[in-house]
Amino acid sequence: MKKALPRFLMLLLSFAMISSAAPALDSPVRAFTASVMRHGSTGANVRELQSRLKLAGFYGGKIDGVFGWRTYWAVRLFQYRFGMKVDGVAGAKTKAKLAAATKSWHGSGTAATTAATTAKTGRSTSSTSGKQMFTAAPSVSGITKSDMNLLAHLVAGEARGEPFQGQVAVAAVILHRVKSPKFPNTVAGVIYQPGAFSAATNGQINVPVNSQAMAAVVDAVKGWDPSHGALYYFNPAKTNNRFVWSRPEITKIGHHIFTM
Amino acid sequence: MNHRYVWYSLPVAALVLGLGAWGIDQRNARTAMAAELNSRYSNSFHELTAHVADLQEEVGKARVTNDATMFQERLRSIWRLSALAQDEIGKIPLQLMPLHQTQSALSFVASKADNWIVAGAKPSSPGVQAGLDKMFSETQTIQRQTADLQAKIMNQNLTWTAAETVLNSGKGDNQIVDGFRKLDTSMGAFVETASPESVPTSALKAFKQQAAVSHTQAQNVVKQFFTGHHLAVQSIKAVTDPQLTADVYAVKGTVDGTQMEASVSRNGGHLLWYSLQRPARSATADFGVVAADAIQFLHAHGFKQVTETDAYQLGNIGYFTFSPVVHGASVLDQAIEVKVGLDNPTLPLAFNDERVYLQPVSSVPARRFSAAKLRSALNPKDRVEMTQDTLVLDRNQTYQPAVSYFVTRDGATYRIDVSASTGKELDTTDLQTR
Repeated sequence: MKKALPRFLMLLLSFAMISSAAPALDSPVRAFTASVMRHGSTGANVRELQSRLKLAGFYGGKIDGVFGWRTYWAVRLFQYRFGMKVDGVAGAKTKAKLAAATKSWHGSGTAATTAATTAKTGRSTSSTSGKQMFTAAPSVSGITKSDMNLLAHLVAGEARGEPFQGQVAVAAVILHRVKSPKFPNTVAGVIYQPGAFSAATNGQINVPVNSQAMAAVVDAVKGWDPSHGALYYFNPAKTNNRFVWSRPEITKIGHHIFTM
Repeated sequence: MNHRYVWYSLPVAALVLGLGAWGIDQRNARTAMAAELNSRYSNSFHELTAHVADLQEEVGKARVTNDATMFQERLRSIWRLSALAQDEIGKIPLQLMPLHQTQSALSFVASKADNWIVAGAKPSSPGVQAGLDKMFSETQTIQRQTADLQAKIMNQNLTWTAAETVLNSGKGDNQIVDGFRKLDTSMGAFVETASPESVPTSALKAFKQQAAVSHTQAQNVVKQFFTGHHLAVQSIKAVTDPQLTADVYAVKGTVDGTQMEASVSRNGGHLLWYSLQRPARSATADFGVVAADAIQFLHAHGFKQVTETDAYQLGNIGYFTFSPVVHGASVLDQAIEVKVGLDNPTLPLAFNDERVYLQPVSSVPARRFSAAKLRSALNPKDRVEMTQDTLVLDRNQTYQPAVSYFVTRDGATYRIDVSASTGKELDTTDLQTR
């Protein structure tokens, strides 16, 4: 009798494990998370979308997790072919139709399972903490990726530790210089103009870019200008250069004074 | 004995100290020189990367156009940019590893463009299209490789002086050298388009004729804008924005306890932009649906009809660009930017509508050509995915009624704006990069 009890408990446990697994085996194919994808979306869901569209023959681009124009046209074409409303947005209906059309799809894990893992581990792949590093610049209208990258590096090197507005202002100063006839007319030309930015000469420009610096550059490119048109800035505690001190001050943000 | 030791040791110590100081000075001078050289070489390389990216974009635009005048303009740009790129290659310190093939490819691009300019080549002729296809593929290769190399140099903090040392010694491994070898082996080609965006003088004149508002009125403008929120103004300062060449009020304060900065035009008292200084925390809303919140926000602030022209997600932030609709057409040059935090999408993190006031729509010529009629004039190789009625600024900074065609070619998307008044192409935008 004493031996029978552990055996019974083991049997009960095994039964419980099997019955808890059973619904998962019977459930339909899990695909995507509940989020709606549209032009500009990024992440694992988009990766799955691109991958499935590719499998179905609607998409010929890279599986990069960025919902760009190529993905947009592919979604529209898919919607058109399947008699759906053509809007280029991958909502619940489009995702369900696509999942049904690509049952044979075997990814490295659906976005839904990735999200489930994220919820379990408490780690997010799209963390936006200031320390997240960027290996590639985002695609933003109005500027090339290489210029975005260069700008973000300069902001990281020149304005690390400054408030976010100060970082946007530093990026804005460079963009103003590109437009000004007094300075070179490319981002690289402005940044590497001899003596213009200390970060370009002391190697600080090569420090890794974090998400905050990249967001500051995007803000400046999009037209937010806390410097109010400044062409120069300096740290009053670190320079006694007469020229910069002689410029009319526009505003002060963090440790930097921005001037005309 | 001790005295003699002291007398000997003093000059020796002085000599050692002097030599030490001289050594440090020399080392500092060498470090400064190396830094200066590195900076100069970096400048050339990044300029090269920028010219090549611009060149690639310009070749892409030349490829999709079918307007003879615009095509000639693109060719001149291609010729100039390839010359600029060649010039920058000459400044890169790789004397011991000449980039013959890259320079030849760039030279080929320049001479091909020159030949077409002289011959008045038509963009739709099969020979020109074949040549452009080849040029596009070459420029794409070099553009990708220079961009990859740029990312590698910056992310890994590679120095040009180290590359030069490796080349001089004839041995060793260096990622910059390897990158250039790869580039030169695969070789290819390359732009400048980004003409500075300037506010048209006529528009500014009209803007400046609007009645000036006082500090108090500017404060009220901000208060009214944030109706329903708790606004506390901390400072208002009149500044002249040299970029807008207009006077504005820089307003600082808090909105619902979050630091806020805004810019209000002195003329007319328009809120040109505002920005809230708080990070976007964990997303509670979906990027895919928050555009609706941004549109609702715009409706609440007087923009009754807008079309979305661009969107981008950066972590927990959504950036959206809208164009107001006037006479049933989207005004593409009046971009309204809205930055939405996915943690609280109802009050955007930032908003910018200055172009609406600085580039106002006045009289617009009548539409004479239909979208179907204009479509027949497009390059037959372009695949038209979508059309849109728009208002676009022409070279003289006056609004033209236009039809914007979203076309694809080899996976790349371009927007071709054609005047519905004259039938001429106004501009082409590469939507991948611009």
